[in-house]
Amino acid sequence: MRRLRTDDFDLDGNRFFRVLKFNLVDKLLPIGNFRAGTGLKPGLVLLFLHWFGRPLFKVLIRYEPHLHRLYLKLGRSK
Amino acid sequence: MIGVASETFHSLGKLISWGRSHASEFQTISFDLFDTLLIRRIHDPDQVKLPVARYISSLAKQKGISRSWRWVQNLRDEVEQNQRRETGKTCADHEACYPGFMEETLKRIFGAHYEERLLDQVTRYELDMESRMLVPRKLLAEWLEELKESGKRVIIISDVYLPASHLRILVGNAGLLHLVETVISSADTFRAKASGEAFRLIQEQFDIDTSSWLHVGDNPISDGLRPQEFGITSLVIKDGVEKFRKALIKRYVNYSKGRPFYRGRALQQLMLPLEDENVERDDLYVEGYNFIGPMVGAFVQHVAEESRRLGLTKVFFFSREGYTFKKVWEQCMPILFPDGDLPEVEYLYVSRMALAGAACAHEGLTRTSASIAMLPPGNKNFHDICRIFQLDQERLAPHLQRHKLSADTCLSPLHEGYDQKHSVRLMELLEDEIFQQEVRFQTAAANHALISYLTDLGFFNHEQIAAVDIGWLGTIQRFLFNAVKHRSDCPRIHGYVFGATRGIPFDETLKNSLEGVMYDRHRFDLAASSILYARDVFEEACRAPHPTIEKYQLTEDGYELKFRTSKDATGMAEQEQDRFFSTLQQGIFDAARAYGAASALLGYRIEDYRPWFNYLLTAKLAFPKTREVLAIRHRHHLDDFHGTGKPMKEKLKGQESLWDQSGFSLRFSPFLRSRMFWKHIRTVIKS
Repeated sequence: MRRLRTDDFDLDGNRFFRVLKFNLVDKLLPIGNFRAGTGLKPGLVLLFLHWFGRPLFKVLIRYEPHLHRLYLKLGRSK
Repeated sequence: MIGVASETFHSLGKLISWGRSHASEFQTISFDLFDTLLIRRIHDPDQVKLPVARYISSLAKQKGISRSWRWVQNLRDEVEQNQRRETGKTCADHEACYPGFMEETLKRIFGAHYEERLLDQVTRYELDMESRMLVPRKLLAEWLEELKESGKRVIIISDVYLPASHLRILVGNAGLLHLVETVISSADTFRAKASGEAFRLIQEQFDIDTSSWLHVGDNPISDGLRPQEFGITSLVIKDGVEKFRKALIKRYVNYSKGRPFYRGRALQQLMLPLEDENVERDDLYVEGYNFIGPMVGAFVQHVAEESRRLGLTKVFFFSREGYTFKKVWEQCMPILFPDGDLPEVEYLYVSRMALAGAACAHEGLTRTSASIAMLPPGNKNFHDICRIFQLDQERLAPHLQRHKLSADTCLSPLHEGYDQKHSVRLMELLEDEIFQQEVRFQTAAANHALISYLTDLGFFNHEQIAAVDIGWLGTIQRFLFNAVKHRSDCPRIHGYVFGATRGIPFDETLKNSLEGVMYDRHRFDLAASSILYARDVFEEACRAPHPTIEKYQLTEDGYELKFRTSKDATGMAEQEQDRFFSTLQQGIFDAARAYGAASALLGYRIEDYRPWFNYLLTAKLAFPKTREVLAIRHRHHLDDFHGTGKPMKEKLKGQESLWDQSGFSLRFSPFLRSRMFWKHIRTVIKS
């Protein structure tokens, strides 16, 4: 018995690591029309989020107001 | 007021624990609604407005008013902002009320064509869309039950543009309305939690003692500071896991705008079950929901879009796979195309066996039909042709003899005893007009019965219809068209199949066309061709749990549909297969409901999802995990067309597919999938 969704909000039976692996293989050896695929940067960001997002956000949420002020500062300085 | 606390919790469990331990101190507990009691599947609540804008645009189009959905959305935003500005002149909060600004928006779009029921229609759709995107938080729902049982006053307070009457519908759809005393919205009074005015109003209206009032919400100001200022104890939830979930869906949706590959992935992310929807299921259900379901949803959506584009007035779903497609249609269409501009739908009892004979009544037994009959490896001779086309062998024997053939003459190169001259003689037989007259005579009754059945269903009342089936050669549609094309009122048939392999060329004419939606051999797509690995899986997944129809028979009163018995060994095996795949089918049906809402919200079509489906098909069918093959490989597959002849082993060598391999082979055979895929590439390129 399994759940449809994993604890890291991924699809059971088709986790993002498998998606990224396929797309990387497709870059070397075309196996299908994935229309530019995942892209390396978005793929790595999503993989990182799926794997580490849960503990990371549990920490980050405590500093949300500080981070928000930091983002605003960075946004203004751009 | 002093001595009143406002506490922030980073875990819902801890918040509720605190609430439970202090419950005796409070008589009234109020909750914020959105992102507290209910969470949204989508990260941005404004996204729910977009399908509503599309709906309004399509309603306008029906009245001959051409306005893009973006224009509609911009107008709505403008009208809402104007209302907020007006409200802000007299109230501390710049609130808006949905019926007010939506009515004005609609009046400005429709002008003289505006009708009162338009607001009602649009409101119902928006609330339906919202409801599908909202999920009650399991832990809070459980706490609400406890609070209700212990006699506490439970109130919902929300700062939102939807009035309380609308919020009650959303709360009711979430299964929480019976647990609350009342629902209060800032849209009714223009006094919101954000300024604190809402708490004052509620306190006066309900005569609540603030010292025994607890408020729970997610906004540190509206649900934290303001109630505290008013003397209400407040608990603020800042849930890191919720933030994480929203960060993921936000990225998938945002990436999907620039990278088409993510559109299908974003769709499935939106379809994911949340809170107590995410229960344990068996492997087949998971594959039905996460793998086959979205593709079936997209297939049916495409059929609907084409039907609207071409003005088709009826869709016939061919038995037995059409059973699933029709059920998915019924789940998805109300939310995908709420304007109702859709054709009628009908489930049509057809099969190759039932139609084969009826198809010969006017043009006889054609070469193409005979080739189709000899395709299954188990079919060998004229016995099989007579079985399939329901011909009387004895009456045809003299014709066979005339062409130096007998019923036992081997007509298939896969079987022992075949000679090429047998095929030549068969072609000569098919060109024999006297033979064909006998064939037409023998199959006339079946054709009459079929025509009567189709007439009863209104088949001939439409100029253009859609015919929907799983695939693969389009034989059912071919036979059906052959059976009815002689009629002047024969409709134009647009065939849509899940996969079109076109092993036998399909004679496309103005009146009869075929499109493979997920896969079509005419459209070179290596990834989608992975469907060829496991066609039977899709057939078994979509098949109706009833026996196949064997023939159409004339009776004294008219006609009857004769179904295959389910009592023999094959019938029992099929029933076992139906039971085995029932959870997979349930997964597909449950996915359909989620698919409809998600696809309506994203506004994408099958061409947007295709890169993701290409990946799914390749990953799951060409490079599956052993566990996946063993889980969803079918146990029995009935093919009534298939004869009992045993072809020569050397002729079938090399035809074994990946999905026929044993578990041992799948696990330990080196580079098995890559070797099979290479073989598949060669087959696809050469064919």
